[in-house]
Amino acid sequence: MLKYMKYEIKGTYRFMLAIILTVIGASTGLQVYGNKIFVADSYVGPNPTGILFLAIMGFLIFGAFISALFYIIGSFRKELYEDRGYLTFSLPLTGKQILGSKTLIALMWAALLIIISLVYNFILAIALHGGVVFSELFEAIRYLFRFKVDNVIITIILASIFSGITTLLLIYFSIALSRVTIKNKKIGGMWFIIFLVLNSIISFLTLMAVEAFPFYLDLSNFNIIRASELTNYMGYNMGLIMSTGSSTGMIITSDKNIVLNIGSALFSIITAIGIFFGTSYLIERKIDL
Amino acid sequence: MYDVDNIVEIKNLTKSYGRKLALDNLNLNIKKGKVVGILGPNGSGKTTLIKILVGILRQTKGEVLINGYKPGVQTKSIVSYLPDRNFLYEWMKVEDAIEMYKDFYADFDEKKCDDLLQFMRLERDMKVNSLSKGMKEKLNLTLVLSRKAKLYILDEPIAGVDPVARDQILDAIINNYEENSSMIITTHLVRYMEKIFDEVAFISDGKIILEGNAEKLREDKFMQIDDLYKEIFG
Repeated sequence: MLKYMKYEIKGTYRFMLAIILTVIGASTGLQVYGNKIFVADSYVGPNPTGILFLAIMGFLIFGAFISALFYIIGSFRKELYEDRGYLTFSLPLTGKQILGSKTLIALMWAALLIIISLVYNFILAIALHGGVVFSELFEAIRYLFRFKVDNVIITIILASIFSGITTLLLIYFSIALSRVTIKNKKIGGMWFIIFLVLNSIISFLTLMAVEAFPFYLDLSNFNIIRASELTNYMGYNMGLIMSTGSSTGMIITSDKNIVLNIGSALFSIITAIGIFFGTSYLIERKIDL
Repeated sequence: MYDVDNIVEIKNLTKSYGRKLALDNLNLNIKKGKVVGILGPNGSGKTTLIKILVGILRQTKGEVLINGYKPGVQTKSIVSYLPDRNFLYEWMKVEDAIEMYKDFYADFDEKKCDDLLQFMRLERDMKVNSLSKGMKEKLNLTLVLSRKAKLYILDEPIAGVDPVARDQILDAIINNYEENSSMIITTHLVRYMEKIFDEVAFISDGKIILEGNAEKLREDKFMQIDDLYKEIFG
């Protein structure tokens, strides 16, 4: 699997490097110009050309992220629809190894793109607004790494990563299913409709799981709470309710308690594993090149 | 029951695309150590058969065994496959393709690969994308023949290449074929390839309509395999 990942990286790094450089370039443009429209902390405002410049930079960053997403999706799709699949699927690899490699490399690029963009923008903001004093810059970096990472942040990051992996796997599954069921290669966009339908079904079933198994787990002390007792248990501190995708059923209170609906959590994990094995099965046993 | 003398056993193999039958109850056994030509015109089912053997296409009915195993990861490690198209990744240089074969196939012989590269006049730093059709075909064949595989499967190795490249490819196949291995070659260009074959199988509408030892067929029919091909399909 590691060997295959090596060739995945070799085949994608040029494009992803260009994406990262585009984001860095556009972020620099945004921040440097953005900095100029403030004079002595008062807002001067951009001229029409400036507005156009800011818009272009913004679109460049947005476009770069979207391009990266479609590139990652396209890299999987090409294996099923283009001649390169003859090489990939004649290698002595299982479907799980091919899918696992593609998913891990996609996650690696996504993580790298997001981390580099955030860290670069943070450092640039400090450098521009705080004056380019290197001692301050290093202090800022030290501050960044000392930033208190509490349970809530870790939970949100883990939930987002899990949600990202599930979505990516569901996209891969939709592409594979579309390839297996619709032999006409010209109807290539069908995977997106399959994805939307499956995503809706999974979201609906996740909500059903919350209702079917109305028990919550307090992640701070591992107490199990009935749904009917939830309001009393949490008092009036229900601050933020995570209700997106696979994180449905997670409740984070303003005093940083996290409770997780056991039914939906189990359902989400089983679904993600099921999608992985389902996609592996399709690409190993059902794809006809 | 699997016969250990056979590298390939095909029983009642059927592949249908909707109502169209690409393979129709096809039966064929290939003995170890033989070079077998699967001969037939375009659309006769040659490539469909090959793809099922390699494990990139699923049969509708029937059974296929390669060295006693159903096509899968196990058989992919002992089969060296040349598809009828350029299958290397577009971003690759010749060097990358060689590295990939080295990484994935324990039977890859780099020394043999270097000899073949020299014979084919290919350089390691050439980009796959910038090669002509003939050069790509030569590179693909170089990679496939550089393995010491139990079974080589070559799908139309000389289709669409110029006469000079064709002769080079034929020489490469003859000179680099492993004695103890088996080879399946599909082609409709019989004249250029018939000297290579130990056995031939004529395929039409997804069925084997004639098969046998190439030399014996020549003697029995008083004609070359190429003439026999023309008589059958002409």
